[in-house]
Parts: sequence; C-alpha cells; structure tokens
Amino acid sequence: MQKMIVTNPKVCTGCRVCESVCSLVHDGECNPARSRIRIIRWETQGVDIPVTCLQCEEAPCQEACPTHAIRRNPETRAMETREELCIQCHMCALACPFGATLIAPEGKVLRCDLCQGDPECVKLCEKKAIQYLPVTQLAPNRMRQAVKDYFPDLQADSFI
Amino acid sequence: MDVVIIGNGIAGNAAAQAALRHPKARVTLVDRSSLPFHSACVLPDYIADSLQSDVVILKPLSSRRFKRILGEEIQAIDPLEQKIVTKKKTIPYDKLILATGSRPSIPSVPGAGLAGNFCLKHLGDAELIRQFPARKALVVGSGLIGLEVAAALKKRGQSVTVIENQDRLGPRIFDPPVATYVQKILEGHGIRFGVGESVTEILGKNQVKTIKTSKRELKRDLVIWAVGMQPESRLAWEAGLKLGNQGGLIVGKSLETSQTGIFSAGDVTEFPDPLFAGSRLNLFWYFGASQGRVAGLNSVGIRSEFPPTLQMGTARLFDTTLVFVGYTGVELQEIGLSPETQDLTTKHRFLHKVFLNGGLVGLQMVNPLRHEILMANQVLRTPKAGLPIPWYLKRLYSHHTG
Repeated sequence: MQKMIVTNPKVCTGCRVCESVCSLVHDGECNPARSRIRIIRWETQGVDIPVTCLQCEEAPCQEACPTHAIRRNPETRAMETREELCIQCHMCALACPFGATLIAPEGKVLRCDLCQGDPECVKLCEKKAIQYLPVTQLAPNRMRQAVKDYFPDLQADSFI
Repeated sequence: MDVVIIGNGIAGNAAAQAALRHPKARVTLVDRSSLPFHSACVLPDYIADSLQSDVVILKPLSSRRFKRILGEEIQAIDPLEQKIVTKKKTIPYDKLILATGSRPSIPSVPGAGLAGNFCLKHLGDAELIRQFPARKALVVGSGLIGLEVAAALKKRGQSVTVIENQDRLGPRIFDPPVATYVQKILEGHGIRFGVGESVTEILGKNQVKTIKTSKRELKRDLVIWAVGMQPESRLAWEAGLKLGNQGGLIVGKSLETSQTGIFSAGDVTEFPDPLFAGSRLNLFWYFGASQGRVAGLNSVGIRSEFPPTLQMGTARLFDTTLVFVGYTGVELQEIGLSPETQDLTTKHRFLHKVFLNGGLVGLQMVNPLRHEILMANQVLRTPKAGLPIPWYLKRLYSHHTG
C-alpha cells in the first residue's frame, strides 16, 4: 500500500536528529546542509515544523525538468532524481511550491527519496513527530487527534 | 475515443501521457519532422559538448494504445468533419490537441539564406551548428537562447560577438542593472557585445563572409539568429481557429480553443496572464509540460485547469548562474504599473527584486546562494500584488499532517 511521510508539528522538539541521520545515510556525513528534511523553527513562538518532499501526485518538479531526470519510483511512489541525467539546472528547486527540493552547496539536487521505502528519519524520531503511514490511515488519525483535542482528559491509547 | 495530437515536443508528449490515463483513449501523435523526442532546453550544452546526446534525447512513451507517426506533413485540419489530412491519408479524431510549438523568426535581411545562417530550435539545428566549420561567430539577439549559444560557441573555441537591437542584454528577462552586470561577466570570458545594433545585410558568395550592421562591418563565417520565436499556428488559422495578438491560439482555462473539441498546449498557446490585461505567449519548457498534461486530461473528459503561472528560468553561462522569476520592472512600467526595484550586490553576486504594491513579483539573480534560489517561491505566491492565490497554498499541510 502507498505510504507517505506525515509530520506532527505539535510534538516536534526541534532536536534535528532527522536532519543529521538523513545526510548521514545519503552522503555519509552528519551535515544538516545536505539533509533532505528540514526543521523550520519559529524561534519566538517555540514552534518547530518538519518539512520534506510531499511526493506530489502532479509534481511541478517533474514538469519543470528539461531532461526527464525526475521520475516516480513505482514501489515507494517517491520522486527520484537520476543523477546521470540531471544537469543541475535547478528548475525543480524553482518550481517546487514548498521549497522541499533543496540544493547541496556544490549544486547537487536533494529531494526526499523515502530511503527506498524505509525512511531513517522516521526510525530515529524520538517523539514520533515524523511518521511513515499508509495513506488510508491519515484521515482516521486526524479524527482521533481532533477528538483528543476536544476531550483533553481522554487518556487515549497510542496515537500510532 | 480517438485523441490525435499534432507535435512531437514536450507538450504533445505530456498530452499523450495524460490522455492515456483514460482506459479507453487511443492516442495518435503526428509530427512533420522525423526527429526523436528530445529536450530543446539543453541544446546549447549539447553544442558545447558538455552533454552527450543520450541526455538530450528523451525516452519516448510506449503503450499499446499509443501510436506515433513521424515525418508526416499535415496539410489541413477539418474541424467540421473532425479529421486531419496529411499527404498520404486522413486521420479522423474525436478530440484534437494542437502542440505545434514555435519556429524561430528570421528577419528578412538580404543574405539570410546563405550557408552559415542558423537558428537553434531543435536537435537538427544543433547537429548542423556542431558540424559547421567556423571560427568566428555572430549571435543576433541576446535573449536566453542567444546568451546560451554564445557561451556554447565560445566553449567550442570560436570567437563570438553578440548583437542586440535594443539598449541592453536580454530585454525580456533582465532589467537594466542586471543586464549590465551580466554583460560585464560575459565580457570577462571574451564574448564581445554590441547593443543598439541590428543586422542590415549579409554578404558572401556561397557562404557568410561579411556582415553589415547598423554601426559597423564584421567579418564572420557563422550567424546564429536568436531574435525570438513565433507560434506555429498557420494550420489552426487555416482551420478558422481564433488567434490572439501575438499569433498564438486563444484558449480558456481548460485550454480548449475557440473550436469545441480542439485543445492547444505549449508554445502555440496564448494564455491569459495573471497581471497583464491580455494573454501572453509563454515559451518555456514547464509551460509545455504542464499545459500538455491539462489539455490531455481535458481531451478525455477528466476535468483539469491550467493555473496562472509566471515565467521562470535558469541558465549557466561558464561558471555563472542566472536565475529569473516573474516579471521585470521594465515590462510592468510599459503596461502602466509602477513597480519598485531593489538591488543587492556583492563582488560575485547580484540580486534584483521587483516589487508591486509591496509584494514581490519579480526576481533576477546572478550567482545566487542556495537559499536565494528558493526565494523564487515567494514570487509565485504574492496575492498582495494582485496575483491570484495559487492552488497549492490551499493544499499545503491539508494532506501533509496526519
């Protein structure tokens, strides 16, 4: 079943382990500048929001790519860049409405590839602010969250 | 359902792919040229030998319901009988998608037919330019294509001069301060420029030898015309479809032309601009890809709309990166608006912002930093300046958070 990365800004502590592990897995160094996931922090309000590629169904990055280097992995549904075709024109980064296509300092394009269906950032997220869920679970989860917000006393069981 | 597409470019292929999403659609793609499906954007890199041809040639679509007829000149479209006529046969259609693209315009200058005159539109042109033995080249026109070709020829070891008949480089993509800055950088790489200059005559016996411009006489053996593109809309005009001021096909949001059942996508389409009163031609790759998808979906009855989109592009000239997004200050002034501009410059970088009513509507960058490239998103989402709120803002986070 198709799964997607789901984030929960309410529980994210901004520890940025996900950024470190992402760059470590993909490039062999702990370097947040090379991470495919980013924590956006609002310093004064104490809010941290993990942001990564949404794997859009009709992806602007794919349409902007002049060499058709971006294609969807049929198994994980992740938009993957084929390095041998990428000419680093950065049109995908311009076109991405979410700024989730990132550029490494030397020009390489960084985009979440869902680690071939086993995202490392999800495994290491202590607070479960980043989860990898089947798409069918998204709506029930949100209902559950809404109910919990409404009845704060509820000692709800696990929030998957 | 038979969908016929004219044009083997990105718009045509994107339309074919989208139309095939309908399980009963049968798609036929016809093009008069027999070149393979390729990427026109990277041709300057191909000329400069920095890319192999397997990157330029794109993987064609394959499906049992998809047929590609190349090298077949289309002679007429018959909207009443719903068929297109080629030399050998007639092809009936239920829905027709016109993705005929554009052709380079060459001014009627004496001598423009001599050997050594080229323009750059498709792979065939690029091969000809690569094979033509030349040592001194003249590029006429300093738009994106002109500058990229000039850099490519320079990398091939030719001496290059670029002339532009307006007062600055890239008049449609740069504002004056950026144009001056870019010119200085390229002059540092040995490309010579002449602004406010146009070709009056080309002399030579069998091939180009001397070029007379409005200011001087140049000895050159290669001329590249990059003065602009015209929509290839003659077929549509003959069939009685409505054309806009710039010669493109007038379409609505669903990309249907004035004739029901005929859609248009890509360079040949004139799409209403978010800020301008009229419609504009948008000769960019992603317009073709995106409009092709929308036209293809609509042709098989899956409703889809093309959202208001701004022009944007990048180029790499030697080791300099150019990025431009949205409107230039000059073109906004020309339609009677009063934009404000802001320049930020350091030794190696230049950042030029265009504001309208306090909202960012244009951005031109030379050697931008990583995070500055991502600033392009801001330009594309400034409803404050009168631009419509893009569709994706409404979708943001609605399906992202669980």
